[in-house]
Amino acid sequence: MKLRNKLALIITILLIPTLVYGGATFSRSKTWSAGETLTAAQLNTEFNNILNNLTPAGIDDESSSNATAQATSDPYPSSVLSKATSLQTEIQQIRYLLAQITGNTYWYQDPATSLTAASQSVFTTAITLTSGQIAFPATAVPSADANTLDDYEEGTWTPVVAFGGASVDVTYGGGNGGRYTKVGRMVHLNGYLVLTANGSSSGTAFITGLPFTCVNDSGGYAPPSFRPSVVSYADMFIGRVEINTTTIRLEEVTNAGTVTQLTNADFAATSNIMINVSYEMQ
Amino acid sequence: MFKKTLIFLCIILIFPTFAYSGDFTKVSSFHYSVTENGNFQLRITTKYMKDGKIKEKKYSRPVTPDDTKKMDGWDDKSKAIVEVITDDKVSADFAIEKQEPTGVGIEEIISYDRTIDELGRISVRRIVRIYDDGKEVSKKYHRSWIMPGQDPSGEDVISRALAQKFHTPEVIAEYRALLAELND
Repeated sequence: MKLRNKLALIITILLIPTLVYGGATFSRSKTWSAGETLTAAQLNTEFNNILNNLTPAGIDDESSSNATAQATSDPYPSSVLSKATSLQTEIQQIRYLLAQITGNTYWYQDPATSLTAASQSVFTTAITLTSGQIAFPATAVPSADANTLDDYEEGTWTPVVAFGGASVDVTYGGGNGGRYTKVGRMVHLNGYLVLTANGSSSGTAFITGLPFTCVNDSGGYAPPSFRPSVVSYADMFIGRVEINTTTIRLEEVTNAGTVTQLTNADFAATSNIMINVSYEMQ
Repeated sequence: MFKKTLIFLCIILIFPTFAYSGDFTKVSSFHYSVTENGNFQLRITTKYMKDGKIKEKKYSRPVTPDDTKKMDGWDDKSKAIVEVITDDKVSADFAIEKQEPTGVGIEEIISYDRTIDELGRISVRRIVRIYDDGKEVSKKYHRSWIMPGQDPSGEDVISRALAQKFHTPEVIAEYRALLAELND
């Protein structure tokens, strides 16, 4: 080996312990003094010392102070990957995500609930929705449990008037329509029936086309509130959502308490009725 | 004392008889639907009945046949619905009717799903989605019905085919009888 190469090797060997010592938890095997002869045995011993101790336990921590222990780095700022350029940054990026997952200020703080508990849908504290939304599947997955909310849906429906079960030549105005919100098994709806012709069908009057079938149980009858216009009735305009149907029976009740069904004779070409009702669906 | 003991024993022996009188019966009802992709789904509701009243319900998860050509073990109505939606003409018309977003610009895509109940009433849900460059930005529902005896023309392909298949004269008569009861 040329003298120049030997010198370079010696300088390197002399420098290495100094560099490693700053980031390691183990000590050098020997400290050489200037001009001291370096033997092969010493060189091998030092290299073995480094190789044997260069384990996770042998590498120094990244928490020399509270500030360094708390330091984090966003690996995905503005939705763009920011690649780490050192192990220190890699650690800080992992810390950042831990804090994001737990929602805590610092990555090392205990989470409010474990991922296992979360995956089992068991929460021991109130659920906080930072996005403020719960999305249900488009097709409900019904539950019979009395404490389980299983569906939410908003939509529109079209009220139709039927006399004796038919609606021959009935026509509707542009405002004819309705809106509903379904929460669990309850349907809450508004509707505006607007006729422009009451047609030729005759018989008892119903509003049909409710968005869901009413539960088939005598406890399921639901009386709506109405705002009738150009419809004749005695004393009070009433009605009920019929069980096991999608219809509202239209009735009148006298002050004496006699209930009778309205018929086509009570309607005119420009009759219109506003409806509001909540009922339990089948 | 003997008399009191006898009465006590009688009460103990009789009480369980009262407590368990009125047996539960289990009744299953099937809920048939065809999804907006034209797939058949069946969900079963098990009703626990006592004294003619529903005391409890249990719902199954929706199930779909793995292979619509192998419907062994399914009930007749499921088979009939699958027969309707796999019919060559219905499938071809559905393929033409079915809309998919192209991913360019603002698009309105309309689809339908349907359920058919034991009385043959077909509930149709129209789903209107708005896409902006292929991303869904809005979804709205409108619900309507095709009742037995009602003209299904103007409805979507599958709803129309279901109405034509299931709204038989018998089903229409049964439905009209129900209406007649309401009109009484």
